[in-house]
Amino acid sequence: MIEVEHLVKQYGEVHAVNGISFTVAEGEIFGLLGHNGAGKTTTIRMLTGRTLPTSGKVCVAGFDVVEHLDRVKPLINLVFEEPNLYERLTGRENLRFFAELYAVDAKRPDELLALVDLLDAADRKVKTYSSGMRQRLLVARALINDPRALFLDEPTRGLDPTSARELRDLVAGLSDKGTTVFLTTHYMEEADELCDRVAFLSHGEIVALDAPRELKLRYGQRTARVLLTNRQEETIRLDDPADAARLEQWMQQGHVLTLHSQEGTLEDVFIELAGRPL
Amino acid sequence: MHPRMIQSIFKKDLKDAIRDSRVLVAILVPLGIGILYNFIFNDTTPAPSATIAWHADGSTRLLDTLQGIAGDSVKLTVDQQPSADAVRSTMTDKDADIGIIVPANFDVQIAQGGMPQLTVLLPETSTFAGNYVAAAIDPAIRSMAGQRDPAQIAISRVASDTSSDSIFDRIGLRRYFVLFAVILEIGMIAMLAVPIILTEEVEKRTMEALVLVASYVDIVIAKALVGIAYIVVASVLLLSVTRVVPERIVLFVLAALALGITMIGFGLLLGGLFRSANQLNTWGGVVLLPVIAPAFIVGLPIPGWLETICDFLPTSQGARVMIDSTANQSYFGQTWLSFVVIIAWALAAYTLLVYRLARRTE
Repeated sequence: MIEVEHLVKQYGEVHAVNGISFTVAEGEIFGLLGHNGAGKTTTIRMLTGRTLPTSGKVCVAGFDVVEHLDRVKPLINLVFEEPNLYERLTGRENLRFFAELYAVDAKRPDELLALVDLLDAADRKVKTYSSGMRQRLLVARALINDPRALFLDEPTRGLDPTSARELRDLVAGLSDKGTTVFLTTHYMEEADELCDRVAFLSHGEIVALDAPRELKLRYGQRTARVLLTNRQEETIRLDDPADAARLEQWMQQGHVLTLHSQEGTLEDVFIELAGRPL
Repeated sequence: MHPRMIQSIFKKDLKDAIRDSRVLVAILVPLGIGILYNFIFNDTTPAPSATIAWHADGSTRLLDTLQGIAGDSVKLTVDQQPSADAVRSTMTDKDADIGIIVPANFDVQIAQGGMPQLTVLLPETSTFAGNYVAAAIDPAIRSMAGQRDPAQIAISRVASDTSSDSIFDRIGLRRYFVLFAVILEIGMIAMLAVPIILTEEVEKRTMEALVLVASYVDIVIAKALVGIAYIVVASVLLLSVTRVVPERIVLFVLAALALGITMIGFGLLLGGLFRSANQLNTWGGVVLLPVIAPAFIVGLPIPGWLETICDFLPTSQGARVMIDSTANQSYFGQTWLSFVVIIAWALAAYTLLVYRLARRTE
């Protein structure tokens, strides 16, 4: 669905994005992770046709984003990080405006307002909405054209846990229906839970790209937490023969109360690759 | 360019902007100023008026004769009093310009050469109209007495050379200041309201959502059309309320549109220079002043070098055509040159705008 080849964006001497390549399959949820300034926003801007690449190629649904932007625009949409809504218009007016722009069915705004549970507040001006309601309206707006590829830029930032959970469930549901989802996030658990594959971006380059489980297995330290009969807790490395010997000894002596295996987290992988946490 | 999207953005902006108090103020202030000027100023100097506190014992032709002499020169208002004392009291209270007390059988006595006593009361500081009436009493009485005029006076009106008349003589103070308000309206919509709409889109990042579906060109055209729509509605409203009808209405409309489109171009450029709509709202007036000031000095006695500068400015040229189209005769002339100057500035503004928009996606 999304094909990126040797994508470069240069501002003067600075390489904001430095030759990244990847593909995202139809219906896949793809996460792009990285520090602030790593190049995530620039990448998403180029993927959505809002910034011209210095070199390289981006195709969405087979159309070159630079050459055939008018063909790409109806197929994509984006949930922005900021609640960039028209605050003096009502929720319904906001959606109706974008429905007109995309030339979609006039009933679509109300369907989406119902989907994001905003039908009761549809005729209130957006400036009276809470941040959670705004975020839900942003999602509804991004779905107005029933996009084949949906981009989400930090979609759950600032949301309370319940709203964030609802949004994640909504995104997962979209993917189940075949929508391709491309998201950037700072929340590793979110990426771990939602994404089929993630890419770590550092200084404009992709340093790792794979399914979260594979990355954790490849880069994470395989450990186990052991609670001993003397209530002492020990962490042992499963790859370390010395630790394995210690565990065997505790088992033989009957000192082990509980044993929990622990796989690495995406956070660990990121620290391993990028040198510091997100 | 996508006409359907332009139409959608245009409709949204019309609805959204009118709910913005900053835009509303930019539109309503010149409208209010124009209506205020309409009440303050007159196109022609009104004839002076005199109030006569009047009492006559019996009937007399004196009042009719005085009104005949005054004609259109002085408008007479007669305040009939029940007695001579009431006339005096009215004069003491300064409620009349002149008091006249006519004795009984006045007309008969005049006709018989009886020299009746007519009492005329003037305040300590008399008005022009009061003095005029007082001076007219003598010829009125002579006429009533049947005395022949010593000479025949022939009055005829002579067409004068109007080339040296000021703008105010040509179109009248009221119409000049209503035009002032129309140009101010164009300026405030183009250089404040439209840039506020654009800057707010960038500031609130709604522009980002718009360009996901529309192009920058669509967005800018829609904003320009919103400005033109507001200019048309506000100008028509202002001219209707003040009942100022330009003599050459097509020329007036063309000049107002050309000036509006040009200034909107610069307004849209201005919008790109400010980070926030509030910042623009605060400082936009400072930018507006030098842009719009040349419109208000054309035709006034200004130094030659300033006149030359005005020759090259769109606002002064727009004002010249609008004044010419409001008057029944051309005051400035060279209408074509005015349009050339305005169109040249429009081309410059929109070329710069296209250049700026092209850079936004790089």
